[in-house]
Amino acid sequence: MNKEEALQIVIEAVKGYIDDENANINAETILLGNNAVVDSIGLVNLIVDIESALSDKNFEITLTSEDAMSRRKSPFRSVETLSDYIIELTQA
Amino acid sequence: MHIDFIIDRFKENLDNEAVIWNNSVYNYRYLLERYEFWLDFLKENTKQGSVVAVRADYNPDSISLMLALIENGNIFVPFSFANKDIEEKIQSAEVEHYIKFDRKGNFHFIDTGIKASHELISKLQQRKNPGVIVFSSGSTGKPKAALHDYTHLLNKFKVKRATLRTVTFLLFDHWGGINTLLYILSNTGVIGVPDVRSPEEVCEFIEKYKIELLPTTPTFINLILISKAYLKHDISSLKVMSYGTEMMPESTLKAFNKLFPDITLKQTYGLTELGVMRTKSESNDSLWVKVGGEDYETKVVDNVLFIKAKTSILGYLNAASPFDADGWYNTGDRVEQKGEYIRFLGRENDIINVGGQKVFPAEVESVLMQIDNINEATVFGKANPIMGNVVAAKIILGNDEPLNQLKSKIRKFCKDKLEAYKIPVHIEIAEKTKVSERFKKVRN
Repeated sequence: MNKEEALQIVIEAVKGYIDDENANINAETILLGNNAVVDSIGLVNLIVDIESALSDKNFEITLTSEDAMSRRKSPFRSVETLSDYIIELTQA
Repeated sequence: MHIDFIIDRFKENLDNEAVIWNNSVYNYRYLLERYEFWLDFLKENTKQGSVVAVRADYNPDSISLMLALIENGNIFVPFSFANKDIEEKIQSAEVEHYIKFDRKGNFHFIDTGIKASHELISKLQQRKNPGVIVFSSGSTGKPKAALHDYTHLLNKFKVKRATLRTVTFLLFDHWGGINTLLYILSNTGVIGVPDVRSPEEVCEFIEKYKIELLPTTPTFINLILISKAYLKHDISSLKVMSYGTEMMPESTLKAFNKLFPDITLKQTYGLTELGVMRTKSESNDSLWVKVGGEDYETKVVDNVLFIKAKTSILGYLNAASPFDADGWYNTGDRVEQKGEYIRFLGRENDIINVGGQKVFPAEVESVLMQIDNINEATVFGKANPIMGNVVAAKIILGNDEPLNQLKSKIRKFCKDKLEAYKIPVHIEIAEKTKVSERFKKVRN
């Protein structure tokens, strides 16, 4: 999976979850913390949605592994870091 | 001696309808004949106080046998065709004789070779009182064999009261079903046993035999609504529908009341360990209810209902006593209080803990079932590495619908009705709800 595809999946999922097709969601959009577009339960939903979107493309991946949770820099910080993390996992 | 008052009433009503079974109507004369047959049979084959199991569905013979067991002072262990673990239960209830009916009503008499010796059984035998052992299903662990002294229950029925033509919906081994049956028999009412407990068959049966009372479960009421079986059959003879044994979704209650405003909806509350309590609903479409009656005391501690009853069990045969030193029983039911009324929120075991916040499946199910094209929703917890657990839902649709569309529809609908952590994260579309033979939802 290339970066563009991964970004697209994450952006679509965010737009879908916040239910706003016209929202300005891009690589820099923050997913975690004070300026995030989703709250914590929103992030949980988002992760599940992304996992099922990936599964539709035949990538059976768990995003919330112990590895993801214990990294010093969370892969869930932004749309871009999450997309990078997806690429990392799909290539593993 | 124990049931003289019931037999006297039979004798006064010999030609009245008693049991509707297998498309035939049996009168009290017939029940009395079968009762006398069984009493002789028990006297010949069992000792007073011995433990006798019966596997059956309700039919004129099994009903008469139950009465004969009481009269003969036996300890009765009812099994239904839904029981899968009879062998194990025969051991834990120390069953000495086993009368096994097939579905046509033919029976076998089996000596198990067991000799009952449990101290609670001996205690009851010394009192020379008849007993009954019912198994408490419990969502976890082994079923517990609960021993009741029958005379407590019989005393309740000595005062004559009016009865309605009633369907036996609960299975033969259900404590609530036994209560209903004895109530009707002691007031020489009419008991109807439908062949099959499906919404269509039951509605047809109600129409054909002018049934007035249907004691059932919320799941079954919902199945009646979904199947629209009430359009095919006239169920206007029904006066009362009682529901219990599991949580009633508010949406089902309101929908049913809207369709059938003349049918009284009555919530019942009973526990294998305590008996069936008198309840009074605030109104027909309300889940607020008063529970108790003169034989029960209730208290709520940390939102959990505790009950103290005059007619509680002697104890379990295969587990420690469930009562505290003062005789209180922890029901495990979470409730809300409003003056004298309480509202059941769910079983403590069913609560989903989402990041420390509590979610009751019934509340979420009730919202989901208001959504267009959703016929049935079963909510349960699913492990999640971030929140510990999240809410998941299995949905039965009216017509096919793509999962993604359904998911976003559910989120939109729930947004202003439920807190964010209660909105299902995982949605699955199921072919059919998992409903047990007792018409209760099966959560996983």
